[in-house]
Amino acid sequence: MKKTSRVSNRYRLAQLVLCILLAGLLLSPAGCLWLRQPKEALARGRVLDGVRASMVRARVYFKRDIANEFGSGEQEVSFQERLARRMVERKVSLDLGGVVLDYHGHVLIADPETELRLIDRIEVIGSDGRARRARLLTILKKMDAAVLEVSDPLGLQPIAFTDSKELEELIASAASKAPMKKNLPPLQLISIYRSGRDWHISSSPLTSSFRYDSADPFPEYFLGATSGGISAELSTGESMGVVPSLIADQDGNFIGLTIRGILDLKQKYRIWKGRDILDAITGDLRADDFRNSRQALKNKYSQLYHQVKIYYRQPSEEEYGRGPLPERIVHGLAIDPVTLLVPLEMSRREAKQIESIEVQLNGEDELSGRSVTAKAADAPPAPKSETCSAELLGAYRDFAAFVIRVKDARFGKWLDLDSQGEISRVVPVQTVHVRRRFGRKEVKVWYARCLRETKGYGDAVHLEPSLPIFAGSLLLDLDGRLAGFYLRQRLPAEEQRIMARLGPEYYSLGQPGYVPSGSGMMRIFGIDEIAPALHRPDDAFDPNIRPMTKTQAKRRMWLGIEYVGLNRELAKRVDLEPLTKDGSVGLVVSAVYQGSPAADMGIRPGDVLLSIKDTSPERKYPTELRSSLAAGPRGRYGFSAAGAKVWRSRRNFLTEFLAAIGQNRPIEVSFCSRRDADGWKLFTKTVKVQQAPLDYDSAEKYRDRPIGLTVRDLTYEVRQALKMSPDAPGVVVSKIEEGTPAAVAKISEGELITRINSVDVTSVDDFEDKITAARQTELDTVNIEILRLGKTRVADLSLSE
Amino acid sequence: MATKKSSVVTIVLLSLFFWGPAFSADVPAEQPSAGPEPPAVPAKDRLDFEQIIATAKKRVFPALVFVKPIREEFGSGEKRRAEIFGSGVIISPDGLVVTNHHVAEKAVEINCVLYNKEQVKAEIVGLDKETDLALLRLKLPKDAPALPFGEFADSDKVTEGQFVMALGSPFGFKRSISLGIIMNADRYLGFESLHKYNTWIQTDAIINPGNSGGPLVNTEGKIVGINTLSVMIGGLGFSIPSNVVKDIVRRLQQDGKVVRAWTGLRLQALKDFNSNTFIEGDSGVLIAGVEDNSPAQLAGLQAGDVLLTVGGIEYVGKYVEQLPKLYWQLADIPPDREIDITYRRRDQIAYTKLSLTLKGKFEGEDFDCRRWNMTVKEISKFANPDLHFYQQKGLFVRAVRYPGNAAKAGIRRNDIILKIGDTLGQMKQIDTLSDIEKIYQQIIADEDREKKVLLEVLRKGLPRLIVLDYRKDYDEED
Repeated sequence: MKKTSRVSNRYRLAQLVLCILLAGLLLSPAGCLWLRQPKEALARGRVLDGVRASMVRARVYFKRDIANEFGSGEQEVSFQERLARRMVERKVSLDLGGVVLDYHGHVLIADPETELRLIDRIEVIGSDGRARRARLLTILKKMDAAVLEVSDPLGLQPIAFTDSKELEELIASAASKAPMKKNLPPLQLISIYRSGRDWHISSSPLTSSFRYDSADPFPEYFLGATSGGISAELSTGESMGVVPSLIADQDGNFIGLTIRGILDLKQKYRIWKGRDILDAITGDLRADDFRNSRQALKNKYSQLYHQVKIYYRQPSEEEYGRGPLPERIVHGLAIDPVTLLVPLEMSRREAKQIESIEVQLNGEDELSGRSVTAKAADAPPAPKSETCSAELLGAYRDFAAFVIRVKDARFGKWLDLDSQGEISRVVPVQTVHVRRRFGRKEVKVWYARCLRETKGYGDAVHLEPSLPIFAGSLLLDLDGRLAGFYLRQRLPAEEQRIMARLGPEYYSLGQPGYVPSGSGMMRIFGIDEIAPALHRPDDAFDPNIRPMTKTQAKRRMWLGIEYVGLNRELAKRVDLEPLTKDGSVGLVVSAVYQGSPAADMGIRPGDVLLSIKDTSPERKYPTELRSSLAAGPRGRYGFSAAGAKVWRSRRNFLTEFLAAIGQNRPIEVSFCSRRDADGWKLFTKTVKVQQAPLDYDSAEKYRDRPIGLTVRDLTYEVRQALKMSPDAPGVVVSKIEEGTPAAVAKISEGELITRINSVDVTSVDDFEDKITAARQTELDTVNIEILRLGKTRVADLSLSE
Repeated sequence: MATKKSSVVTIVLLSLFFWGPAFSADVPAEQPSAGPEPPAVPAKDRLDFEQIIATAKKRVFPALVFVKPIREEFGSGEKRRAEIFGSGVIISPDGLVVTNHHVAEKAVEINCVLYNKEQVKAEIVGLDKETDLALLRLKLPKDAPALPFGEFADSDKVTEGQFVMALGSPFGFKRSISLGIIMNADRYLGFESLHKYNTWIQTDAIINPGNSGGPLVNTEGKIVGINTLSVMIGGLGFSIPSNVVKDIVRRLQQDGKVVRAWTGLRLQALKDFNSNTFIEGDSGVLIAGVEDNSPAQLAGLQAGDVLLTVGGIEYVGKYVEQLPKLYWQLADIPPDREIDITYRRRDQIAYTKLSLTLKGKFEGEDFDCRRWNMTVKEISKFANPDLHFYQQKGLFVRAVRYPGNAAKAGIRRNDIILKIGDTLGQMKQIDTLSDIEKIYQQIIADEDREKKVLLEVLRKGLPRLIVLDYRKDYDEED
């Protein structure tokens, strides 16, 4: 048999060579890769299959009828309430993906942050299709997730978590700030999500990102974020949050969980390691504990917040277009024994019209001299509603809040502003909001999480709550310490900007607390930001927002002109297109009042005002005076062709705008004028905003009931319209009551009374004196001279009582 | 007194107020009481209605004329012609016809239909807006026979209760007669600007649109008044007393117009029930007001003074009905002559001299800026006192045609035109009608120029600039 052995030798050699080649190929990098692939695929496939029993669907059913949860017609500020209402009305349940954590039926879901009172029940449906009742057990602190406790955990397979050695090494090396030695290990995210009617489990590789601008490459390690399939869609079309994803290494070991695909490697803000999460089930905020602590907070803050009722004067007839201001009910937080902070809007126009403020006292408060309720040792707190009056101290310039001080009362409890709670990312921050609902004070305590930052005014960065919260909410950390407020940021010169944008429409916005669009955004104000302003209000108040008496409120600021708008055609004809932007900007002066700032600046009829700039440093740009702003507020204050009242109301855009800038503030007025045949020249003059002299609306007046008329002093605009000199005698009739001697004498509104019994009447005081003197004599009538548009007549006025 | 609304409106209201009781529902007639028979009235004293009407008809009816003027009006923003109708009465055999001014004013052609159904053209002899009378002359052929004419009665002898007939063409129904009585022979209607020179005869003989200018005739067939105003809902009418008509006709025939003097005085009765104002005294008349820059102002008279005598004649204006006569007397004083005035101021008698001026036209002339689709009119202190307050001499926009160029540009009625031009610096002042006529013709005639013009107007006393774009020719459109 010697022949075959030689052949088989060669054959064996060939086999050996082949094997070596093959091994070489396989061991080469390409080969390794090729070898690996099926293993990975197998691994993934195996992994997905293996987790099926550990992924669940959680279903949050909302109450079918939440009529009692919301008042009818109530304004739903809260996103939660709006969303829930939508889900309730459409009877849609909220589908969330979940991961089984242990054999005790604990399931992790993304935190829906929905108030429990809106929830009817929660069900967890496993891979076996069986629905099990579940309840909310824990709200995790360092993860925007919640843990459910399922009543019947049978059939739910928990995940076995391990640590990833590679990652641990990486984290350790990162801590040492040594340059990265190892590559990031490839990781997978496995999640359950719903697409259409079906639920899928999918895995996707993690993408990685590093901080670009930091020496520390691993403060946060973002992965795949919310791309494709990770977010669960609802039939309402809202993508409601995200599902928790399992983190697995390439060997199929599960090392942790993440929400939103964010892996915070050092667990600075968010925990992701399996064992840390398991610890948190019992360690973090238990729902039951939370309920109790919320109740305690409700009780505490119910005592600290007081109901405030603000009554407004009704606007005068000339402001008819806006309608009456209803009374306003807000709640204020006691910050010292006599002061309340109300974290809501107070606009300048509202403040002007405040007539009175009433504060309702709580059980522990005192009216001066006596205690509100007699305190029996174990008597239940009987809220005896006593009220006391208060005044507006001021409103803050940089954020929407105002301060009220009570008179003749002291609050029993108030909030210490020096506590320094902190708002951190991800950790729930408690929100306290007080409002009047169903006839009583409701204190609503819930929580929100700030997951990311947002850019605010001037590029400042602020934490942003994941779901919007009520305006004016108080923010507390989990220990109950005051951490901040959720307020609207006020922008510099806000009222001016809004007025310039909205123009005459602005006048029709009448509801107190209204915030026109274009105002600053709501954001979180940390207590460190607010406290200085609260301690030193004089620096922080907006000097323009303050209460005024009725007469003060009628005073205006003025430039001293009457004006009309411009249009393109006219601008073209008078060669003003460049300066007036084709006639869209510019107020053409039709009259200048003597002694006014405009007269001092040398403005003449025919000039065109282009812009006004508030020279304070925050206002970098002038406000253009658009021609459309000349339209004026729509008021009843018109005048018929046949009427004697030929002057215009002095309430117009310009006077209101100057009032928004504020008295004594320096402004730059730009206008162009045609002084000679050279054409238009641009002028810019600086002047201070001045208070206008009394005008028809604010003039001194005298009402004589028996005679049935009201007369006012002749003010500057009336004199100018009637071409009267500044010292010409007379008073103007502003009101005639029907069926009275004045009506019988056929006097009408807008006519002037110039003489009584042949003696000049110089003012309303003089008028009153003369009438009084006449009453004291035997005569029962006075003879008056009436002037109407240059024509006089004489009539008798009966003085009879 | 305040007459923002004309007194005709007041009268309408009055009549509305009395509307109700005039229409009391079916009230069962009372049974006549069974008293003694009333004494019989002798036949000669009985008023035979048919006889009355027959008399009037015989004497005046043939003199009644149906007047159909074609008038040129500017009230719609363009010069437009309209045919209107009214009545008139022939007062002389050679064809003089009396009618109302508001019938014949601005007429470019007048046709009259006579009793014999002939239509004859008429020409205007004279017009007086302030008394609302016009005198026409029929253009008869040379050998025309004498026309029947009406005779005037003495309107001072007219008393309430007398039967009268109104002849005319109400609503165009030619040659109608209606019967009524004199409700009041001396009615004062409180007009401040027009119609203040006479009191009125108030009658319930039905006067409707179309009756204007026709005669009010008494039982003797003589003209006691010319029918002029009516309150249609109430069924009252007012006629100008014949004595006034006679005087005006004479003056129109003589001068073609009535020349009056102007004092600038506004008078008020010593006992003014309208405003419950009462001044002591039995003679004199209260001066309610003195116009700016008027002869009365120059003479030093003031509101509140009581005018006592003028040129030696005592002026008695105790009641409103006496005022028109005083205005008449004042208007008849020859101008450019000084006249002595006595008046009382605060219980002191004072003297002064008054030098009157001519009153001039009551209202301004009109002009149609056709291409601009607006009509303008001269400002008159009598007709447009409120505008005159802002601009003493100038033009205002009488009306703006819609649709039209002026309307589109935003020009409104009663805007006072100050200047017209192309650009600022080249604006021309507009003071008189001829100013605007000239400029308008100039601008329109220039075909090559840009069809836009810049106006400066005064609106409610404040100036503003408006660009009038007249590229579109609205006449071509229609």
